[in-house]
Amino acid sequence: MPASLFIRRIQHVVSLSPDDRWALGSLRVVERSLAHREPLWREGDQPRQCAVILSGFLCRHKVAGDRDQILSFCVPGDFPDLQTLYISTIDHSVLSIGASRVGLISRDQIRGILAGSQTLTRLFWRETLLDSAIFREWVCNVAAPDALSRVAHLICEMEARLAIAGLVENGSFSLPFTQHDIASACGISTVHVNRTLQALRKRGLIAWSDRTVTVLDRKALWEVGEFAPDYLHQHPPR
Amino acid sequence: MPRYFFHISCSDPFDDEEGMDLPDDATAWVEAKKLVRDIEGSLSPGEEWRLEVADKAGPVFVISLRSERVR
Repeated sequence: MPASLFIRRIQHVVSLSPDDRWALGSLRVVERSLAHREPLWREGDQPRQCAVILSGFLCRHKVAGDRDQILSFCVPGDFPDLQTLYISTIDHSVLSIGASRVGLISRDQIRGILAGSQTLTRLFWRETLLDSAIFREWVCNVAAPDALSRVAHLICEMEARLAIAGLVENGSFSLPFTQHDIASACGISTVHVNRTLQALRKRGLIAWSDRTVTVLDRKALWEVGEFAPDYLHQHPPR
Repeated sequence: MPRYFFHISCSDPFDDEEGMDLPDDATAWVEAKKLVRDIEGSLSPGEEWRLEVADKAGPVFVISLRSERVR
């Protein structure tokens, strides 16, 4: 159920009234499956629906010159395209990373539940603020001097966000990213990603096989990635 | 597409076992230049860093950097 995924992710920071839960639960959702790198939206599209990720990963993506840049990753329970609620033309593409499933909800329905609840309005506003916090962090990360730090930071962030979504078990989580995806996200070459992952493995920080990542030494990984999860703002607003 | 291997020798060497399928030598050269950024994380003063790009027939390019500590 799409609403419950979303509710589970935000339950640490917002408590919803039964009415709000009912409103979210009553949204009519059309499911769609996407293959690896299949676009949900292309730059310039004017979506009349917003998507919530039911399983798998999506990314925001842009082509800049001959560079293929992944701007951010979205995990289950995220809305990767919430800005299209009030900005009609999408200025980047939204692609699936690995196979994924999304639930499409008409923009009018979401606007409707927001009009009926201040809590939900604040919650969705907070979602877009959180998005921009993640973007800010990412700008800093791609300016990090070395590839090891960038890739480590990405793994730290994915673990932290998947943990919030309840998708980490004993330090392991599913991550269907190819080396090309990581290269596009971190602004480094694919060969460099390969070298970097090998270094992280050799140092005993992570294990990565069959699309499953296990964090073996979180403290050391956070240190290498210069990662502090504060920007994910997992505390209730005061 | 031919497969190219990018081997790095330095204090933190990298033996590229997987390699990368690329259309031609020119593209492999572009990748090689990108990989020079590797020195940011691995080169200390006085050390050397060497990248060898090879295909299955043997080495195609070498980029070699030598650093000195002058004082």
